[in-house]
Amino acid sequence: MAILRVLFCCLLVVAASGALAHGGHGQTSVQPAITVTFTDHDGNPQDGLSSRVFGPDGQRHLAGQTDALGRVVFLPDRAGEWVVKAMSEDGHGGTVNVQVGENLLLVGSADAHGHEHDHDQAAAQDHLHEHDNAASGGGMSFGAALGYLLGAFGVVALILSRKRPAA
Amino acid sequence: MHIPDGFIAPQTYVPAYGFAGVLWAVGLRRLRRTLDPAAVPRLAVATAVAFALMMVTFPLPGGSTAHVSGVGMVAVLFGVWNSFLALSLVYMMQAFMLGDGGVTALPVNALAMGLAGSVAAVLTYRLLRRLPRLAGVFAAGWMGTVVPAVLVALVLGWQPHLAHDATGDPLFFPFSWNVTVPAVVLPHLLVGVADGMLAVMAWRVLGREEDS
Repeated sequence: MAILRVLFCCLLVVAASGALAHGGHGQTSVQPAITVTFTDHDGNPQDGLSSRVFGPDGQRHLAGQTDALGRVVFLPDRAGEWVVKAMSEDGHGGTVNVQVGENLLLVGSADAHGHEHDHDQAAAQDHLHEHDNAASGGGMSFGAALGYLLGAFGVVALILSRKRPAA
Repeated sequence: MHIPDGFIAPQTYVPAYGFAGVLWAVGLRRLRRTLDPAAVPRLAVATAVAFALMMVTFPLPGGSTAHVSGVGMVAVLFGVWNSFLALSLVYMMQAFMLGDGGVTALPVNALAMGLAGSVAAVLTYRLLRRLPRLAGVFAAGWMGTVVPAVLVALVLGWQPHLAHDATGDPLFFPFSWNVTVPAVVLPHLLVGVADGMLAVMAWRVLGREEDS
């Protein structure tokens, strides 16, 4: 009988440890995260894009989808350049390179539009405003690009006219 | 249809830069010999129109967006080489100044849209010469959009097979051909109709250079 009691106790211990192995532990904490927002040309959030975050070693750190506001949120665990991508099945989306400092806070970022941002974590909320400013500057960039384009053809016409003077 | 930065692997864009670079050099040398200076203003206008229209997106069913490319329009009016160079210039401006299409993806965009699209448009136009001319121009405009869409879908869908980590997880674009081909090509079957109409309108307004 004593042997049976010992065996029963051992069984209980084994079962309990097995139950623990299947259990999960959640720990709640508040940490500064980095948010990257993806928008289209009109400034509308690109929600539901397949998103991936790559660490400085090039390995994938996170995979998911942009949320309803087009955001990807991640917590870096080391300093260096992180790469955040958001992609739709038809090839829309973008890539943002995020520079993370030794204190694991945001140092700066450069988005696919070539706009660089330097800001500390406290100014992270200004990021959206900077994007707004970038969008409003899009019209000027378009006008400038159109000007360069037409100017290039002017140069071509000049070169061709010098090469082959009119009879 | 412009591929952004970070979507395609160096195994794709490095050789593409080499190939496109050679073709840009050949095209420029050819341009100096063959392009009539009198045609430059019309080419500039057509290219500027294509550039402006590429920036105007319209929504598609499913939540995506699309825009006309103007590839068929420029190609049918000015020939393959002039079209390739002019549209490459557009893609450069868009990539470097507007972030529309990536700098690393520039040669792929130029080859797929500027070159392959122009070749498809001009070949279609020539093959359909026996049809009423505007029908041929419309078909050329349609092909100038659909063929690049097929190529872009193939290039994108190739990326997960080309570049992945040890676990097989894609390092660049994650979707394979079974996803990219319908996602990219099907909408552009409709966009091609708009591009065909654009080519017809441009034909009527700007006239046409001799075949080059």
